[in-house]
Amino acid sequence: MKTRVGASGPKVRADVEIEWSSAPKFGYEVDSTVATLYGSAIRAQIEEAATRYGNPGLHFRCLDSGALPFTWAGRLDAAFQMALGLERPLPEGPKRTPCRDRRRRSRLYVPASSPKLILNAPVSGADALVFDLEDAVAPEEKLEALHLLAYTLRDVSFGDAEIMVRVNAREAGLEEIRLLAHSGVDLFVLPKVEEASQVEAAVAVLEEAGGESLIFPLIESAAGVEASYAIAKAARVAVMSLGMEDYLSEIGARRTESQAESEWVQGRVLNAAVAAGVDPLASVVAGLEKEVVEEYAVRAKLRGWRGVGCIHPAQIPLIHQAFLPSAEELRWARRIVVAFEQARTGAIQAENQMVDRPVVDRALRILAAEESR
Amino acid sequence: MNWVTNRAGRSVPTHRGDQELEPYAGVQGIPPSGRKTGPLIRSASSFPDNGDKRAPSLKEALGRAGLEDGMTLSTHHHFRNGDKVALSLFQAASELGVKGLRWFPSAVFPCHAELIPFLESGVIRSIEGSLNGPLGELASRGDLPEWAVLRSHGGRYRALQDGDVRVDIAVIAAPSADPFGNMTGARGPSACGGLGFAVGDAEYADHVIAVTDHLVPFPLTPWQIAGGYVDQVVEMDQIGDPSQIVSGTTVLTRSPERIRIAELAARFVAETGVMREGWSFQAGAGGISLSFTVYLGELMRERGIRASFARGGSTRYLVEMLEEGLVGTILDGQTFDLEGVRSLGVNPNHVMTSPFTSYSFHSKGRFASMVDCAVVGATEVDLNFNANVVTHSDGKLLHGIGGWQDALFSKCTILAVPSLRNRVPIVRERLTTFCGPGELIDVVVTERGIAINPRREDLLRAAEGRGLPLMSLDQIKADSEALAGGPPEEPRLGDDVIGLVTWVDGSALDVVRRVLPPKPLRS
Repeated sequence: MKTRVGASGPKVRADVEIEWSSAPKFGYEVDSTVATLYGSAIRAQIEEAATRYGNPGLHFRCLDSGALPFTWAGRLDAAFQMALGLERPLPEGPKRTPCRDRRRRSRLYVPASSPKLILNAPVSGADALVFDLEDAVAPEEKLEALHLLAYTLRDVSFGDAEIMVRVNAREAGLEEIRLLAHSGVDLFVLPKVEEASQVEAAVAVLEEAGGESLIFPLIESAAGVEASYAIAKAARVAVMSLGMEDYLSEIGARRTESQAESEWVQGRVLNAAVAAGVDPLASVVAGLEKEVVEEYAVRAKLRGWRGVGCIHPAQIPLIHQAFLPSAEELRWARRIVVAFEQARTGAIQAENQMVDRPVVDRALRILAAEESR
Repeated sequence: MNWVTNRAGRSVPTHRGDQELEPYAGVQGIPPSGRKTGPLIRSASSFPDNGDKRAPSLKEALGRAGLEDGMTLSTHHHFRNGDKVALSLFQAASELGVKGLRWFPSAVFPCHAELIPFLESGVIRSIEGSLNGPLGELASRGDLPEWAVLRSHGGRYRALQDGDVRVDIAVIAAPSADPFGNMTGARGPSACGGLGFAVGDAEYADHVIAVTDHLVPFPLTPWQIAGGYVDQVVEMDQIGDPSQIVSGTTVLTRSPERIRIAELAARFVAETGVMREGWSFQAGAGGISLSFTVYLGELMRERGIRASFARGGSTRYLVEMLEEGLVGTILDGQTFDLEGVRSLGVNPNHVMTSPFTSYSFHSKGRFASMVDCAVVGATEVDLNFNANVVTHSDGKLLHGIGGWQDALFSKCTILAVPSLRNRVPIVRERLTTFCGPGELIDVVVTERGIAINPRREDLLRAAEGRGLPLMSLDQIKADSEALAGGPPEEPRLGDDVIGLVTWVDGSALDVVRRVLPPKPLRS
């Protein structure tokens, strides 16, 4: 029976471990590296939370290594709710306007259970952040990670980055979506999607909760690949990606440098995404060495993927460099924008293609990418 | 104790025991008067004509040196956390039954916690130097009988030269030495690069003992410190732990925050033109500094810019730049890895410096003010760009000053710091401990953005429209306090002074007080 949340220890930073036990009335003791400098703030936070939960008969023993208020809030909520067997709605986050069409060259996976890694995310420069409740979080820590995540999204600013959350598979994931519907999530990443009905179930949860988030299904199995077009066509799907590791493992192939083993499946999933009008993103680049990351990103771009997943901020500048528009793309983009501005009647003919709004937007994006170099 | 308010607005004592203290009077320093001090005059007839100054053991050497109760003994810190000499020294002193000694190290490291028993037994009465780690904690608790006197590297040399501190016996760990006492740090199993921090001790101590684990026949050439300064030479099995003296190879930080700060600092110097053909820079070997050096290398390569010299902290990265021709000369104060040691040993453009050449303020000038750009850290900065480097915001002694105050005199001094450390914002209203004036601090670079000192209109103009994330210190303070849940509370300090922070001219800049234990945080 779990009686503690969070983490402490000589190497732990920016987190707090809360251990609870029964007591005649509510009480707490805190051992903190910032006892002198933030003692009053910590006290106030604990007492405010205790009041909200009716000052129950619990004693909290807290080991704090400089946890920020959002971390304290998440750990306290988790502790109270787990100790009392309660479930309360998660705090609401900022109102977001999820956007189908935006720059996603890099998406950085951030374990939702780690305050330290969460705090690295704002300086990473990633186009998108994927807060991971699935593979990055041990089963016994998933509930406290959910609480931490809700306060993270509410209180920490991530600038212009797109906010994605990877939930767990099946029912657990649907429950997470329901609870996070108003937490400020742009896209929910669904792992191991094999049928459009899985997406539909997630959308139904969002509709019922009144959430506006879009969906990003991950194709990670042979069955998923077969159904990838139908999945991409489902409502609210804006992005799709292939989970390379799991897929190759299932079909019994091995990753090689030439990527010959995944040529077909990459093409298949990419095609399905493009045919359905959703953003195709390549899987996570394995490896931190400069040459490995550069090559992977360049290859991904040449195939037509619009971005790449990554696990360490150091990979990001290399990825962005690889996704800079080529000279040819820039020339094309400038011509489109000029033609559009000249015509200004909506649909015009230029470059032998119908130049409607999405094409112009793509051209503008390419020019913006060049400008922000 | 009587107090006076100094030019930095801090209250400082007028006296330290019997000794009168000068309150800090500004960046220009108080004009000195008088002559340099000097050691006792000696005669060659009391030294062996064959130049063999060997003594059989350190204990024997100390006996011959006339070690007595209450004397001042000094050591250098080129061996960093691998030093074994300080421990050997006080073990020997203890065996000789001597007590009440004052230790005057050039810096202290965690390995020196091994000396705590000698403090407890009274062999060591006081430690005059910057204190950190376990010894710093002892000092902060008020457990040391005398004040910690914090001086920069340049300040320590000046204190020796001006006679503020008289060293009776200097024990100099020498990676290589000959029986006459000629010594070098560049060669030997415990090679550490240079011996700059021992130069002042060799020049001004009354008695100098060289301790080596690599004795070579006379003459040892080239020497870094001449045997003419040395009284005795002692051979020991191991004077230091080579793996802790210099690292096998320096590894770059992977911390995204540090990388970002380093990258922004490098972009700043590149975009504002601080970096230009023939420029010079200084950077240490800590996480941010090292990454900064690497980014600099990339930018200099890209733009075809060469540095006329660089001051180190030398590491393999700086050596690569030297060998590639990106840097003309390395002026090396301290060597951090084996590549640095190798290069110093073979490359005429990689030379040892000492606090005399680089830093001392009572001198005919020094290198520190000639450097175009120096990047340093800090523990706190206030809204006027004044900064702290010796205590945490809770008042605990954390670092020595090192070369920090000296390096501030560069033409463009950059403080590269995270906006928060363990929840505590770095930018604040008032410093816990005042260590460096804002007149000398030009730029603060954090992971959030860059703040330029309003005094530097030239830098403000140069930075305009260059796509740099410029912010005011107020903004950085506000953002970091928002994340931290407000500004930090005041530290809990006792009335008693446990340390004195001095400025480069020896004046009293601020005091460090005893840190009281935190109030229990419980219901």
